[in-house]
Amino acid sequence: MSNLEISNISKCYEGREVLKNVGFKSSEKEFIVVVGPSGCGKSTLLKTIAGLTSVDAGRILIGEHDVTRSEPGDRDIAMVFQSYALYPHMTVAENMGFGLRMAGHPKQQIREAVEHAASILRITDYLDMRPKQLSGGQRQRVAIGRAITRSPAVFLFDEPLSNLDAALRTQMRVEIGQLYRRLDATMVYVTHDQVEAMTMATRIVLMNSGVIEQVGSPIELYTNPVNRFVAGFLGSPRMNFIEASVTEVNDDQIVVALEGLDDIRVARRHGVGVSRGDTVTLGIRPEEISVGRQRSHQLPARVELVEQLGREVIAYVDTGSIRAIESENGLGHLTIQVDRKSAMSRDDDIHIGFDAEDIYLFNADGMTMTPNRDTEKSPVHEVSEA
Amino acid sequence: MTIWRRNRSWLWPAFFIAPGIILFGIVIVGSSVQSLWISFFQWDGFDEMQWIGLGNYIEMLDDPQFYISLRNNIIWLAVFMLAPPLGLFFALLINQQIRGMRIVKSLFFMPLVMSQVAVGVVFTWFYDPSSGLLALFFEAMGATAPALLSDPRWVTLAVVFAALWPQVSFCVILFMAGLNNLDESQIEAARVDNARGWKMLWYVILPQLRQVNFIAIAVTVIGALRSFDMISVMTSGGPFGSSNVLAYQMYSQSIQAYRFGYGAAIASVLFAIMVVFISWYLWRMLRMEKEGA
Repeated sequence: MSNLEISNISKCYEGREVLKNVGFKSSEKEFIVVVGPSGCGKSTLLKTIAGLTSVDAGRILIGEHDVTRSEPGDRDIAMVFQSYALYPHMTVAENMGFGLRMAGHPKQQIREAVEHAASILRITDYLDMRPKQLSGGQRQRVAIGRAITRSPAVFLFDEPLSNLDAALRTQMRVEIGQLYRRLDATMVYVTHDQVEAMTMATRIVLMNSGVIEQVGSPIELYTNPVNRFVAGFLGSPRMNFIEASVTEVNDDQIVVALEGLDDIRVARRHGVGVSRGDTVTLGIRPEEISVGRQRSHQLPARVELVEQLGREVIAYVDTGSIRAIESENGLGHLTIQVDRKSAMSRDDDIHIGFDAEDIYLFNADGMTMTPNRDTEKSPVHEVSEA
Repeated sequence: MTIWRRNRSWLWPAFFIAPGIILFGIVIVGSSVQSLWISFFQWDGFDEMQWIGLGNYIEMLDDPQFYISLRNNIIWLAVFMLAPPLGLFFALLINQQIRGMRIVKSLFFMPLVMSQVAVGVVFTWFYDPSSGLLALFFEAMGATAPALLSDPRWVTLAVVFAALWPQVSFCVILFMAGLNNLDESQIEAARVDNARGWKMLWYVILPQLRQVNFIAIAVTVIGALRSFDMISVMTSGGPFGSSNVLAYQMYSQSIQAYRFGYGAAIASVLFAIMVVFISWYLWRMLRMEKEGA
């Protein structure tokens, strides 16, 4: 049984298609994070699920009911807004109980529901205060409390943490994760922050300009991006992209040449069309590049900038011949991420290297040409339960 | 130089505020005090002023015209109280996103653009029992139009309704501005919370319009109490003083009857009534600002 199913949703705003045939399905109790750059349509998608925006085409099912044309209040959903959207003239308790009150529940029942939600979120002490008297984090708790009180089938979060400062954001992220495990509901969480997406989601829906690029678990998307956009969007620092040309193709291998390097032989995804002479994009994650001479492909480089992050070091290196496209600093430098113990400083001459098996290849349309990898072997650690 | 540097933190503000304070002091405070002073004299505006103490006020207590004017002011106030709710109603109505609503909106601006005198003249023609629009309407129904402006029973109401028209559109504009500033996400949250129609209006929209509502009521109260121009244009207080109000009586006593002392006394009473409302207004204002902080 699925409790949220969205199929082929389209939405036009003044002639501009902001959602094109968007669809995904959630089985019981999932934490779905919809992520994408600003303007990709993720907030519009959330509003169509909420019923605040009508759709031009498509169908939305919540708990087996077709709610495509229903009013927001009839959809068995609750929503947490970026701006909290609390009613300023009501107390915290009145804010949290408003939905039940509108639905005509008896006072006693409303009070119990409010108190229960308040105890989960540890805001019992604030119940008689007004939103104005609370801090940003407390307000966001109240907004979440208002959603919990109604015990809906689906929770919708619209960038709930983006108005909070960094420390509070991390804390709330963990709390929302705990809340999800505690409540028996599906959550749809919209954010532009890939860290939130990677850490919170059981499944990520990655959107770009009105279409879904890929759906899958965080580690799946990180390890096996279907295209260059997904590869570049997830991961920080982002993947290095280098232009290369194909020198040889056979049934299960592609050989690309980069100036100053041995031929790079990578496995070919089954059925992907590529021919000799094609210009392709080679992708390699910063953590797959290492300092030293132990990897299969090596080249000399000069360190241009070092960012010491404590746990790790991010360095931007100039290799002379090989230029990264869309690089982080716009200068064509490669980004590498190494252990914090590696002593490195500006203007050092070093050797960097990588293995051919860690390379991704994308064709001219951006589609991935290398086969899927085993997610277990990925260097990224599974998100630990908070 | 050093004196200037040491004190400029308050000298600059003082420098900029001074013109306002001086002007306000002379034009408003000074003339109010002078007016109060004059109210203790018998004075025709030319000859010696003659001190009569509270004489003018005692005369006022026995003046039937004063009570008629006062009663009319209360009628003005009561009928004018329709303006804020009507304004809200029309503002909600024309706030819909319907094609052609812009034209309707601009129609609501019309009476505000026109001067009160023009509105008065237009309504005088409208009420004209021989050729006015109202007369044509009554004729079409096979009845004879009442001469509203020369009937002591109807004249005040007729003038108030004429004055209500621009007052309503003023409120419409206030509320429209308020509706434009509503917090969109609060309304969305309320929709998710299943608030609809009247409940949405009562629990979510109206609380957000509280400030606007308050300003609309305050401005309407003051507008009703200082009503003058419409009466001057439409009836000159007549017939037989039956549509007179305090502001107009003050004017006709002072300027037309050359009784500046008595006019000033009426002005002082009107001022005292206004002070009550203005104090309430200021008190609420300060409280709102405190809550907002």
